Parts: sequence; C-alpha cells; structure tokens
Amino acid sequence: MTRRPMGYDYERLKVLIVDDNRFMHELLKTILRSFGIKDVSSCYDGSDAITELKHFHADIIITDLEIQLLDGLDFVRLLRTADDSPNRFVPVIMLTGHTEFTHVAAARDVGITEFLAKPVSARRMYERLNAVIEHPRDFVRTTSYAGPDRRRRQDPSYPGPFPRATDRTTVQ
Amino acid sequence: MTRSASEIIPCPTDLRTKVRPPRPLDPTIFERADAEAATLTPDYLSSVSNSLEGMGRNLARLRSGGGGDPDTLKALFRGAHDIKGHAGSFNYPLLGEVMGSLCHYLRDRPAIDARGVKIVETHMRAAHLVVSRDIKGMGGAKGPELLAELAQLLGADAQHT
Repeated sequence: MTRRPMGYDYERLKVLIVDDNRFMHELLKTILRSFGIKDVSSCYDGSDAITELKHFHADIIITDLEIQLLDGLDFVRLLRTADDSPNRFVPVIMLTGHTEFTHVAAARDVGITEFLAKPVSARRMYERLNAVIEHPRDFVRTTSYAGPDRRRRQDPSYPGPFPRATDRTTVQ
Repeated sequence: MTRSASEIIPCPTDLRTKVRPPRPLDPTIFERADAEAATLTPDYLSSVSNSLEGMGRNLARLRSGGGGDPDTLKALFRGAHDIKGHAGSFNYPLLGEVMGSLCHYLRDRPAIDARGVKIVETHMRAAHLVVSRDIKGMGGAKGPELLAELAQLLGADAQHT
C-alpha cells in the first residue's frame, strides 16, 4: 500500500519573487496563490529585493539565477554575508534554466537552500517548498561560505572530528 | 572543541511553526494549479511573439554588422534563454528545445560569421513556426525531425570551425 503524500497549509507564508521577467512573476504568483500563499511580493533585480526585504519579512525567496543588474548569485551572496543584510537566514530557492553542474555548484556555494530547474511546474514548486519546510538546516558561517549547511545527510558513523582536511587546521 | 574560523547556527529558520501540521495532500492541487497557470497561456504567447520580434531586430543588426557585435549576440542569447525557460511551463516544450538549441549555439560566442547568421535565422524561423501554428507538446512526429535538422546544422558548423 502506498502512503498518500502529505500537504501543508501555506496560508501564513510570505514569499518574495526575484526575476527580471514579468511573465515569470505572473506564473509564480499564480502557482503560489493556488497553494494558498496570499502574501507574495516581487522584484525585478537583486538590488530592489534587498530594499524590499527591509520591510517585507519573507519566509522564502524564489530567485532567478540570471537577472540583470544584481544577478541571482550576487544577490544571495550579499543577502548571506552583508553586515546590514535584512534577512540573512531566509531560505532561498534558486530557479534557473542553467542546469549545468558549474551553475548548480555556484548556486550552492553562495548559499542557496534549494535549486529548481525551469520549466516550472506546480508539482515541482510544491516539492521544493516542502523540502524547505521539512528539512530545515543549520546555518554555517565560515571565512569562505555563509548559508545553509551544504551537507544534506549526517553520517553518525563518521569518526570525525571534522570532515575536511582544512577543518583540522582551524581547531583550537 | 571549537572551530575558530567557523560558526554554526542551529536551524535559524524553522518554517514548520508557520504551517499547520501536515495532512493528506489534496490530489487535485497540482491539476488546479496547472489549470490556473494555463489561463496565462495567451498572454505568454503574446510575450513570446514580442521577444521573437526583438530577437529579429537583433538578427538584422547582426546581418548588417557582419555578426561581430558581442552585445547583440548576448541579447539574442538572453531572448532565446528566456523563451526556453518558460516554454515548458505552458506546454510548448518543442519551442523550448528549439530555443535551447539556439542557446547552445550562441553560448559564450563573441562573434559569428555568415554561416552563424544563417543558423540563427533557421532557429528563429523554427520558433516562429511553432508559435504561429500553435504547436503544443513535442509536435508529434515532425517535432523530433525539426530538432534533428537543427542538431545536424550545428554539427555541420562544428565540423567546419
């Protein structure tokens, strides 16, 4: 017997869309509203989004990777690292047609939470929203990275203390 | 034991507190959402037509300027990339594939020659065809044939250069 998938009531979530394509705003808003999300704001570039976040307390940001002016990667980097960041811990879903490994790795390394390849469908958007909700991650801040813990799985059998050779050099 | 150069903040954003406890998913939720999104299709097609017109102007610029303007090529790439990104969401995956092929050709290309201009033209014609005939899905048997022709064109160009 297969288990019926579970759903959430998203009504109280606030979502910010960052994309330079008006059409994408319409599409994403339509999908999000059909999931019950009423509070959706949208911006056309990362710079506007930083300003918007000062008064719009987004629970989740959905941003395109390639946007004009301040692009998606620079936007997330700034959001995660700037001293005056309005919301450095907010989960970010990066949406893009660039699915090559280099782009996915670059997005991961600036601190995105989830990656969603275009074309967007309602089901895949729902799955990413659920992933953000069901798997909250620790936030890691180092000299070279700020963002959600990039390790998706914890291995309790790992003898440690740290998984990377470079970690050992910083132990006090 | 601590790490001097790193800091770990335990789950600073736990949105489970903002959503009500999970319940069995309404099986119609995706159909309803996709149906809502489908109401945007006429608007989408009109935006594609506008984008293709803009790309046509860039193509004309390339023709007159000998294909060597990197900004025009970048604008063409961007137009194709935008159309590709949205096409699948509106059940025009063939259009997405055609524009994806053009993106593949234009990516990181600082200049193109007369042969390149022809390649761009052919892709644009194919895109216009899909839009004007409202070819949804992969276009039946003709769709893969069209894509094979485009792939052949790019293959021949790669051999030449």
